[in-house]
Amino acid sequence: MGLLSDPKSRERFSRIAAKYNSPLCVLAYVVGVVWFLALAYKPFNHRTYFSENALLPGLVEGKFRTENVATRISQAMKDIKDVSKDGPMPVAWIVNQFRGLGLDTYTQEYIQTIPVPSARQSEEQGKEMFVQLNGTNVYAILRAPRTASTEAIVLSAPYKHYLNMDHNNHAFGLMIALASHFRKSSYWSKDIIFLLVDYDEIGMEAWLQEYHYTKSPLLKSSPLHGRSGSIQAAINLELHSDQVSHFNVKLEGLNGLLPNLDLVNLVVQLCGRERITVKLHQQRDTFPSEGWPAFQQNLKTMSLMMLHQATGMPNGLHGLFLRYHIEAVTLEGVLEPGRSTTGFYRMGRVLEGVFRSLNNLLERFHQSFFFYLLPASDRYVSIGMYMPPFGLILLVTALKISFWAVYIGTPDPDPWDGEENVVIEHIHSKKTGDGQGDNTDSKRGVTKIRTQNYSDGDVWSLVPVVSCCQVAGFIASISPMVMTGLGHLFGTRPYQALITGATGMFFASLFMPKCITRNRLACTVNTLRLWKCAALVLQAIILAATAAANFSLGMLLAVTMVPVCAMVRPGKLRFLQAVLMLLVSPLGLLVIYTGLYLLLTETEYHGVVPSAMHLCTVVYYNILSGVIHGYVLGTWQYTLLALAVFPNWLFFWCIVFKKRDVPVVENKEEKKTS
Amino acid sequence: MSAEPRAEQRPQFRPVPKALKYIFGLGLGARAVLMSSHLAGWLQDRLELASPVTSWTRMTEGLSLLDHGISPYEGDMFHETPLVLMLFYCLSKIWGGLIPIFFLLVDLVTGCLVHEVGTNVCRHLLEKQGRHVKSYSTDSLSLLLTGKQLNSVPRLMLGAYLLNPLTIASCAAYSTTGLHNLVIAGALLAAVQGNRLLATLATAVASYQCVYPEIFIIPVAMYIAQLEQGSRFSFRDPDSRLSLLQTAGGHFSWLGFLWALSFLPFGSMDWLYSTRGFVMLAPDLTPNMGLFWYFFTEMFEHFRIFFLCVFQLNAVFYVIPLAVKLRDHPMFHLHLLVGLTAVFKSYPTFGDAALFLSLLPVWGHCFKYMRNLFLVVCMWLYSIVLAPVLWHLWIYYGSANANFFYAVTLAYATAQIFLLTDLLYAFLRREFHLRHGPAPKEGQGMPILMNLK
Repeated sequence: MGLLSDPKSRERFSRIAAKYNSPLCVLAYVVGVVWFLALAYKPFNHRTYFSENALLPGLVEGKFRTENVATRISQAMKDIKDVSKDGPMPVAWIVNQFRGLGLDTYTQEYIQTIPVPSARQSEEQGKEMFVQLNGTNVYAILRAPRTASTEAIVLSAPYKHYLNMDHNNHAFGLMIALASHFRKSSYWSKDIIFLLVDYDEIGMEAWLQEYHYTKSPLLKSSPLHGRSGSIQAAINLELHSDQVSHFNVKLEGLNGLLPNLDLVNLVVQLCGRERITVKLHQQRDTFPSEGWPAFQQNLKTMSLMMLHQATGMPNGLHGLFLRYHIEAVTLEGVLEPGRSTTGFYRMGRVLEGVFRSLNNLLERFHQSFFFYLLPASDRYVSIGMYMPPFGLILLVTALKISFWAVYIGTPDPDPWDGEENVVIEHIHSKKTGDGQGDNTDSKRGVTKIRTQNYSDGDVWSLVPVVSCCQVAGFIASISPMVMTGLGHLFGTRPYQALITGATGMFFASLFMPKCITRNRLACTVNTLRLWKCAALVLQAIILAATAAANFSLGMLLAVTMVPVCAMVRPGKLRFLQAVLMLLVSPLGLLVIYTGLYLLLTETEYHGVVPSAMHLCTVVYYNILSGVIHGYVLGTWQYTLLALAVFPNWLFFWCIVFKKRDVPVVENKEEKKTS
Repeated sequence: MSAEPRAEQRPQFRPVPKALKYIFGLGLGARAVLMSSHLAGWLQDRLELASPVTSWTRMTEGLSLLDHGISPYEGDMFHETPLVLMLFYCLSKIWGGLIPIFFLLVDLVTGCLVHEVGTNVCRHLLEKQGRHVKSYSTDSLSLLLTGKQLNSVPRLMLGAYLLNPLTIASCAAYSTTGLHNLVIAGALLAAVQGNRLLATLATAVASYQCVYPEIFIIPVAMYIAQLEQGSRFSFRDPDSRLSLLQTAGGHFSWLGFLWALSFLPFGSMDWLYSTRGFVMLAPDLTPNMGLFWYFFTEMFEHFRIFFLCVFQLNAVFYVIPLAVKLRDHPMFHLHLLVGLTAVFKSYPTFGDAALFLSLLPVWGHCFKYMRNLFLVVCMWLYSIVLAPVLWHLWIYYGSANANFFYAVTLAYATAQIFLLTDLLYAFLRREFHLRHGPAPKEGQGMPILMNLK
């Protein structure tokens, strides 16, 4: 309590915090960033381990021998496909395959209304306002012989691939092969649900919603006729060919959720046992695992994971399970030319091992980490390790807050003014009744040089500016929908209307400082200090809350916004400040991080102009999918940016353009008494 | 300057009615909009707004049990008092639409009461200052309260209650915390008016409804005794003791009357265990913003009774040292107790804290001696924002755990405790300066440093 109650140590602290403020801030920021980057280096992170002993991975002998079934079925499915290219899912045929194995097989139909045109449908539907997607999910339940269907594990696969819309027939083949193998065994203590999903995310969401009896107004689906118990874990399978060179393990789920590290570790270990290479974000683990190249590689993997996680969009169907507290990962089998390949036999054995381990589970996954970053498939950085550097970066904001808080209401030399310390003040005799009543020299229109007389920041001046910013944020959050509706009336293409809505408010609000400066909200220096202080406090709250929910998003926002916003001050070098602020605006950050992502993933460089064009296209699609996913799947990234980050940024933007030299309107003394 | 001219310029206190209608309109509008939006259902289940005692979900359960002729107090679901239950029963029987209107009215009336509390306390402060001004240092003129300074206080208090997002959300959640605040505000108003009959009735109603205001009777009794006895008041004086006893007696007889009234609908005293017993024994460990739940879930069962005593004593014990230290300032004491019970009670909600926050403007003249106000504001904001986020991560996503949420509730409680101690310190320090001048010197002529150890 010393610091809180002892005025001496308090004064010492505030003196140090004020005197060495800028060096301390720079130090905290640099140490924070370097520390965070260093976490990708092997000595600073830890090797993954099994926390849940019940998993007993690899303890049983794999008996999977039905790989020929997989080959046959996937070929058969491909043949059907060739007949009806891009047609609907061959539901009857799929149901027959499951029924042929003697499994309880059911179908589920659903209709999803998309309030904006979906990326896929826009070409065909043209200007149609609401797109409706019809789909059918097929699922089959292998009832556990040893229990009464109280728990279940899911093996799911999308009917088509997530990105290139190829058919996922190999995964279906492997699924049938595994089903035919699993149903012969008597040791299952959990039901196994085999699920083939139409229209990937939407179908998955429809099935999960119906399974858990949750409803969404936009998604109508037929009830599930067959059910099992509570789902403990799920594996989602995507195979690009029957021979794969490696498994790409996808973790990032909806809103930055991650599966329990034990499940990830289980999959990675069992792949290792079958000598199948595992990659994260298509990045291979390096060997030797120490040294500069290894660090670079690990850092790249970790950055890609963070960039993915920050978007809040699932990069596979597993991402939707996570919202229902079901641990899930996607295994994507990729064929890379020139590498040794693995067939259905080994893949089947991996999945068999995973399912037998999951079968051993006695309780839900709870032991290992839920908050982590992976620099390599067998190394992890846990929440306890990445929070301190993040805290250091936020410390910059905290130091600045304490700095300005110390200076509010002091007549001390103004750190914003330097030598031009004298503030011309226009004292207004308008008193609101809470003044002291004893400054007889305050007459209307008297201009005097303020030396000793000072006022606290005017707390009430925060109300209009903060509410203006919040209103701008609110408009930005609803404008995509509104603009799509308006665009429909005027015959604009829905896409363009949506983008206009999403970005229009941003560009419009750039002119907000103009509106604020002109009116009566002129400020004393102290009021501006108070503004800055309040803006920093809000920023710290937003960043801390964001980092708690989606660490990567919080970190990426903090690492760029914190230093710029800490430096912002009204008046000087306005142009430079404006450029910096624009760079860290929500749109600017989106461009920067999309650029970073492209830089890390794309190997070819086509020259400046094509690259810039490509970047613009990707940013355009990112905004689109951010908004649409917000409505369809309930991701909150766009809402967060519009309702919290953007208003806060706008507040700083107003501070940059705030004219301080405007004559002060009110001189309220003893303001703090009210 | 001598004391005489000051005594002549007795400050005039005229609360300004300006802007009251805007505050009422805005507060009412915000509540009505929130109530009719789709957020209302979500708010009803927010543990920050609705405790097991005040939750509307439980109230509907109680009403439906009553409808089926089953006493709601036989189960372990319902913990509101019988009179409130009967009130809502009548309302729902007359017309279901009355219930939101009732909640709106409750908040508006509480706002009015808070406004009146402000007016009365300001008047009381000025009168008291007038009585004591002779004993103050002649240098402390600048510290004296002026009518002008206080004129806006009741308005601020009204605004702080009606426009506080916490009370707005609490009202939209149909949390009966609003009702609790109403009776507590009533008790504060009756107390400051100094009418024994009314004050004892009001404290009895408040303690009947929310248990903890039982301790309010101590400062209230002291206040009434001081009003009656004036400067002769002392704990040793038999007259003063008689007055204290009379107030206490009045309080307990009213309480007995209320209990008897509650006996009538069900013909048994079962309800006492379900309401008062529930608050005292804290058997429901569903997480809330208080300090009890985490501690008691972690504890071995055989320590439970002991720690229950410790925790409950902690909630009420401060009344005694404060009664000694703030002997001459029972009104301030009473207001501190509102804040203290809002932190330490077994099932606190944001609404409880909001009432204390709305009382703060009346002590605004002490704020310049507060040292952690900024820190407290920041902590408060953080905990209010982070609590739902971490709750969501823990309960819905299952990725965080109980410790995350508990950390936030700790920060929230700490912020409130800082605020209380800081306010107490600021108050005492102002009193000190009134007597010793605004810049008292040590023997060597050095300015002295105030230190709270």
